[in-house]
Amino acid sequence: MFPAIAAVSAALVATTLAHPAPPAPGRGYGLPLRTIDGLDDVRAALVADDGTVTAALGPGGVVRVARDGTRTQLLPAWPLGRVAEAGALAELPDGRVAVADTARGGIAFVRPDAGPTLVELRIGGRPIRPVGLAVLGERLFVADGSVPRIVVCDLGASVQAMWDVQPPEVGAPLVPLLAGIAAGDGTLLVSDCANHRVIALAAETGAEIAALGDRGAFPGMWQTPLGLGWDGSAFLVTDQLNHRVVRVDRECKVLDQWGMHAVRPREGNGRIHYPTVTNASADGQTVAVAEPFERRVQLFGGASDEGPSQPKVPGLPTVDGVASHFSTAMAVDGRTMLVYEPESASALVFDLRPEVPIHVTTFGGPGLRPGLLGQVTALAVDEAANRLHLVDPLRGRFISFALVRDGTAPHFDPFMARLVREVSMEAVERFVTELQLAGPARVLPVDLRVRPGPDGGFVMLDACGPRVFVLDRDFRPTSGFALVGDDRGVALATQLALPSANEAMVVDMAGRCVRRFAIPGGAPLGTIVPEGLVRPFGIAPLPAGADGRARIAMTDAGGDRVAVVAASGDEAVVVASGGSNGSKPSELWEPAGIAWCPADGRLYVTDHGNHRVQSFDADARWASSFGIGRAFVRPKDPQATGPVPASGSVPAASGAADTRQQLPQPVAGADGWTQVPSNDGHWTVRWRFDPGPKPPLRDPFAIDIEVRRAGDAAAYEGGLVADAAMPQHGHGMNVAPTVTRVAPGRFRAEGMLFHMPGYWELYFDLLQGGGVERAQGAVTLE
Amino acid sequence: MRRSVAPLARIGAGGAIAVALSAGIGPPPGAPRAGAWLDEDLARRVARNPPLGAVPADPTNRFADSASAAELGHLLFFDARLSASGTVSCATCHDPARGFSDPRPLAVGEGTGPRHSMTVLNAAHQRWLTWDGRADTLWGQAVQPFETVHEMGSTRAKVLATVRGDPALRGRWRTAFGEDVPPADAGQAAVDAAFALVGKALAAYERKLTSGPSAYDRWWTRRAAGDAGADGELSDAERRGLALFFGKANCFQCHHGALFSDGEFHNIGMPPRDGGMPTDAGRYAVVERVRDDPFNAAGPHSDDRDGTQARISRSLVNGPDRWGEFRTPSLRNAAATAPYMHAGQKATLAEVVRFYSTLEGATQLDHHRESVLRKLDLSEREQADLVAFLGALSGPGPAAPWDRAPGAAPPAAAHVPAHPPTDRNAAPPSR
Repeated sequence: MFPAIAAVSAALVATTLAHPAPPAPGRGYGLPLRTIDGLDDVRAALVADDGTVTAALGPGGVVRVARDGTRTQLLPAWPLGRVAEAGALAELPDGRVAVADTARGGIAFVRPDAGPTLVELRIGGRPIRPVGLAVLGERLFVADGSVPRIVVCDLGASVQAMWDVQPPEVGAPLVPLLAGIAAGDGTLLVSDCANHRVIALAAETGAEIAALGDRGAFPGMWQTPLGLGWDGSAFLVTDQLNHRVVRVDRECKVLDQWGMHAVRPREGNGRIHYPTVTNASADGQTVAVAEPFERRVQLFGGASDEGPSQPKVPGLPTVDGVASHFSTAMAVDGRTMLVYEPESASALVFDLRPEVPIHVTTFGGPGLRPGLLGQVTALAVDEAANRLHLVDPLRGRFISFALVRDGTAPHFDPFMARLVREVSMEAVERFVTELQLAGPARVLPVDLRVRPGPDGGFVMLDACGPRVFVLDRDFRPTSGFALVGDDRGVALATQLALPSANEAMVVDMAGRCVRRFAIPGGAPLGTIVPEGLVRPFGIAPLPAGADGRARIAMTDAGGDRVAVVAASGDEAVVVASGGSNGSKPSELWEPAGIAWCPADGRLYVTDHGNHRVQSFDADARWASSFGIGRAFVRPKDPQATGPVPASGSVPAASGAADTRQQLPQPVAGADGWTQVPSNDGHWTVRWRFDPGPKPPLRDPFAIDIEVRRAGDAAAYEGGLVADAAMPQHGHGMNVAPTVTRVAPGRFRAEGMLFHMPGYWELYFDLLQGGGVERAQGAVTLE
Repeated sequence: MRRSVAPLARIGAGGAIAVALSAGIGPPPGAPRAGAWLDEDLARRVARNPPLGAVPADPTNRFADSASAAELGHLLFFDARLSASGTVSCATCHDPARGFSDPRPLAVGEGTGPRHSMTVLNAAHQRWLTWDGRADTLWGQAVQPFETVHEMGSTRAKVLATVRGDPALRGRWRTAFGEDVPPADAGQAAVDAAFALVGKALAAYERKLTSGPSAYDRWWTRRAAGDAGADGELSDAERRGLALFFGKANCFQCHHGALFSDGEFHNIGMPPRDGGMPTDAGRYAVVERVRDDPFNAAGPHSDDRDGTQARISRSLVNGPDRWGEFRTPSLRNAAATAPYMHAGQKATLAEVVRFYSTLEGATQLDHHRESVLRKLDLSEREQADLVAFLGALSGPGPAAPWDRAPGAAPPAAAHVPAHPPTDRNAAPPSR
């Protein structure tokens, strides 16, 4: 499925009918009533008083499921229905259903008995990105998932007003990323999944009434709040990565919650798994929770009459821990694989040298400081350069890490990754306006690839537009083009591949095809339309087949398989297919990102719906299944009937790189100063504790810092941020130091405080044009 | 999640461990020497938990060590007229007969509060006061209960009026501070300044409330001096408990230092009293409050506005990780201050130790974060030994006259459970 931030939400309001009261505060909706399965890519769902469910299925249009299970297609799939990404729904008082096309910025009004009417929403000449719809009285409120604002329209989608949504006032907030909206009782509630907040606004004026939230799992906290609903007396907040739905009142006070994280994929019966939106019936008696991860909508009713429902509190995880939950992203280069886990905002590195790859390190973690992550939507690996690149559109940064490997056999090392530098995405956003590239005024990348060839750099795919950018090695855009128009239009872009230095391929999930473009410039080179793909997601070029035809491997998220496609000219044929729907080893559930590893001859696929990675050979024959937890491999014995557990032998270190020289340890001098090169090699940083030689425990201290350019020792003219953290405990200091620039290249950080003994890392982040380059040291306090 | 809190067992290993400073006084000379049952690792860790030194200086309170201020504070501490109903004094919840703590799980003053009353013993050694650290000085904490609805439910003006209206208190005020108690119409600034003095007098008294040397301290000192009979200060059970405390039970990771507390904040997943969702945000809810409190170390009433504590409090940062974090309490005299935990969830030390051993009922809402704690799976005897060791941390309490209400008879009940010498070398009952 799409990464959390690109997931879409919807909101319902039915307002003017008098109805029996929904559950009182404390009662919640914990009673599971029934489940509607088989709703592939369901992004939003409405439920009527009689139990009829209306579901938006992304590129699959809108379907209506009656109480007896009969399905009717209310809005056909793309292209017939003219909506490429049905992402939000609202029911209007006259019975029409409004459907938001998140990818293309329009609203379709659908009647059961007539064709849809499509209205494009443009502001300042640019389409918006509608992620939520709410109706109150005679107005339709649209949450914009690009620029953080609410677009106020009449019931025909003519724009009447726009209200900006502000970030929180404390701390260092991120630009809000709206994900849902609901309306009720004169109030709007809108969710900001960048700052993990919900904000209540007056429906008449857009003035802020209250706000609630921080990133976390405790009451009053969220992890990516998405779609919102209104049940007649309270708002329903879908707290996606906490796997629960929370009811809040108009002042954003928490009333109750229900839902517990599903322990195994496909578990249901009240367990919730990555929900995107919750809506209530008009009478407030039933709520519908859309879970695209499970391709289902679950219906819940009020809690039983036994009294206020006490949500069950999960205990500590088992000693073995919980398996990781990978997002859709996947990057491979050499023998290094990089995946990402949204719940913990962490990136994981696997070493592909063993027969079953080994997890060697995890880095990142949630937070706003350099080296920490808001949410990552695209990954790239450049093993030769020893760089792991992450795109974090919430923090607005390209973040590059390096691995310090000691050349031995693959092994787990929690300290292997180091932040090298961060580059701001502002240059890319300015590029959009300067070049007047079509699409919304925000960049939400969904894929990044290292560009082969002598120029190096990157190519990035932006869901807004959609657009493609060519970036240089410093992530500055050198060219870009929008994927619009008849000859190169992509309705819903998911992934990107670079078969050569001058060609890009983009998967169109709605159009079920692959578009080819020249880079730079974007001249269309053709379209590949393999037959039989249900809902394609990922793409990886393969070596040409024996017949000389180009080959590409694709994942079909809707068809739960890996397909190898041979293409030449206008012809495209699926020549091999692997995987089938399910959760056992070798089976797939919504396979997403895919990458080809030439050294292994393996395709690596994030089997997103099964929380693991699986590998196939170039003919799509299944080879292995692994992640955090048990691994399985194809048995060598031809008599064996099924996958076997991996034997777990680790190979020798042959071919392993020792990268310690690139990121040397600090060296303490006799003069009391310690010195280290910055992690990208441009600067030399020296520091000294005051009082020294080691900082005191639990008392404030200062650090004198000197920065010079590597090579000619010229003084550093920029700014510096000093920080420290205990990586084993996952926390930093409890205080914020102040850094003063005493002279060019000379700083003093005051008010540092190490409140616990143990291993502390020091971070000196040199401010560079909106980003940073890091130098780091460490000290152990006993 | 991989990157999250690792079991604390992994840190602190290796290397010489210097004695941690409790702010103010240096470490005592020498430290218990390894030998026999006290191996090198244990000895190193025990060295970080020396006997409590003298109460550290408090430059934010210029009357901290004033005898007359302490006498005034002594009177105020036990004076119930300072509450709205006239029935609640500090001693109501901080009872000298109960280790200056409260046998009720939740504090009951003018109303019932959300938390258990912590002991005031040794509070002068802590950097942060109360379970959530909402005060950064002893005197800054002392003024808070007066105006809290469920504690004393009063106002600063009324408190000052009561003091002014009592000739004995008013006289002592003049002696202690060299000025009069301001009248009712004195203006907000004068009222606030005088209110701060109320806190400073109380703090001067509270600085007298120390627990005194315990069997553990006597053992530590004698062992550090090389006294061969030092082990006689502890019973066999207490010795075994000590080895667990500083060994495989890992208690020392947070309960280190002379205070047996790191003075910092942790979320150990302690479930709420009534089960269900945790609702007490702990440290998370008060960081901004501490920073902005006019009665903090950096504020106008502090006598050391640019000192260490002021600088720390000014630069505090909050974050979602602080939700549900509470301050590590000191374990000294813990045997006398049941029940335990921030809402009195654990009635006895045995229940506390059982919780750490089994982690039964511990709540962990974010399933991707590893807990701070790992199950210890201690046997029944090991748990009993730990409880015995905690008993060896009890001292006799403060000296007279501070250990009782002014003019009262010596307290009827012992401050601490008896620690009879006859136990020390007896074999434990077999289990």
